[in-house]
Amino acid sequence: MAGTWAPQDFLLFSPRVYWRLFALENESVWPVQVPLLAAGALLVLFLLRGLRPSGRRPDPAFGLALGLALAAAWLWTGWQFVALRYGTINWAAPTLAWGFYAEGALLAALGIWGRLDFAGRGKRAQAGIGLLAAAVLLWPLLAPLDGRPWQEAEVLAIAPDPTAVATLALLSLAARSRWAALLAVVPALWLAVSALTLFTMGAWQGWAVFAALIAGLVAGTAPGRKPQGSP
Amino acid sequence: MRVTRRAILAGAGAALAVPAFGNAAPKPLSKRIPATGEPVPAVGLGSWITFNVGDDPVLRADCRAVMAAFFEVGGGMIDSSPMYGSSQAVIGDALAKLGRPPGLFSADKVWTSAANGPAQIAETARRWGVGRFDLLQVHNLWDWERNLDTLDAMKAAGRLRYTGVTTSHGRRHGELEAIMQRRPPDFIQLTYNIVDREAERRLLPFARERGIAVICNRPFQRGRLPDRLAGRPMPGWAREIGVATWPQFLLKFILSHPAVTTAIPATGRVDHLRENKSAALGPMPDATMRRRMAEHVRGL
Repeated sequence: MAGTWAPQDFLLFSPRVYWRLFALENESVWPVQVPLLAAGALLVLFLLRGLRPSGRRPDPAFGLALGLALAAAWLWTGWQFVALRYGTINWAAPTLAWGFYAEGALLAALGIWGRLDFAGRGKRAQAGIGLLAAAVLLWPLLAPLDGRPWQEAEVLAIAPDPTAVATLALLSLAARSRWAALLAVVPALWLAVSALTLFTMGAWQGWAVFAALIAGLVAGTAPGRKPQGSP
Repeated sequence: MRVTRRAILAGAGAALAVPAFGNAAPKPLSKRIPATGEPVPAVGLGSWITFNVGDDPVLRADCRAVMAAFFEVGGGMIDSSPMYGSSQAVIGDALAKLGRPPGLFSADKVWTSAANGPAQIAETARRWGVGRFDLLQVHNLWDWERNLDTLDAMKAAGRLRYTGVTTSHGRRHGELEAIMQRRPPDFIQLTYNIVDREAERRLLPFARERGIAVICNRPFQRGRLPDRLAGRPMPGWAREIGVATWPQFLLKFILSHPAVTTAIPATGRVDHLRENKSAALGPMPDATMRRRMAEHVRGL
């Protein structure tokens, strides 16, 4: 022992308490999960159609709408889950929530400014849509796969991890720019913190978060489309 | 050695720290606080992690059940800190719902700079719903000199009964010893258990000499020790000290050190609470038995 710390010594709560946060949050917003999951699935299908040569390319209005939707997801998740819910067991959470607010504000600003199009094609876009599908459809399954109740399911725009994974995924469909890179910072940092927390809890879900982080970063930094009109 | 009132009371406390035998129901071990001679149950209740359950009504009810069981078997020290998330509020909520049962020795900490200390202490008292704490400690020696000024002033004004300083994980023992030398508080809190025994070398004997009460945190290494020992057969000789389970074995080792005043195992389960409390019943190991216990665990 003599003066040594283990990562577990910095964990303020037990796994049971952490997972119960999702049950409480889901209960408080039910049944909004249903339209959220439906909207997420429709978004995946719409983007998949756009990959076809004959598919209709998303227009600027789509970029604005999706940017604002993502902004709302970050602002809501940061305030409702991270600050108010997670903040009851982790005094650092309200500070972390400021990252969510910043991400939401930046997404909204860039959407309104017309800097988000999410109109990518090719392998990078395919990887991004695959990751988005995981965020929408796989993340809610992690709780039952872990033997925990459905009530603890993590749903996009309610829970922070699938929200961050979906954002990294969608950024890999956006044109490469310093703005897209800037938008990736908060989701990547959150997923790194989340993976570390889950590993410290001894939860295998940490590997899912870590894999999504790596996949998102690889997809986001792979060679791809440059902004139209750039040299 | 200079003979002080504290040292005399400490010796008296150790002498009185023998469980009663006879026809009456077994009386759990209490130890005396050297500064005053006041008895305090030897097994208290920590709140690190286990009571940090936020606003969850289901888990708060579990914590309340643990505290109800704690008071049913005599109560004692409940220890928390502003660092422990929602633990203070959970304790305060349970105390209010349980009707503030007798037997509470309230212990908390100041975990900030001295400038912010009074405000934090006021917030801590609000969360607990207590007017006056029995014990306030400087958490992990944070700004300890000036925070102790605050606590001493509160004690002098009758707004606090005892002062203390804490450390954990075997860290900063040198500084803690210097504080005990220069400005002895009523209590120190440190990590001591059957495998983390660094404190035996200097701090525990020194606390005894100076008449300072000792609170032992991490008695189970946050659950790692019982997990490590689970499934291993209990040695037959453990029956001599009334031990049937490994948590009892581990706690009796700690409580039987003459310098130790109380241990504060944390739990969120009523059955574990009762098991922990039962370690204060029956005979305590003597020095020879303590060596045997430590050697046995080391050999596993």
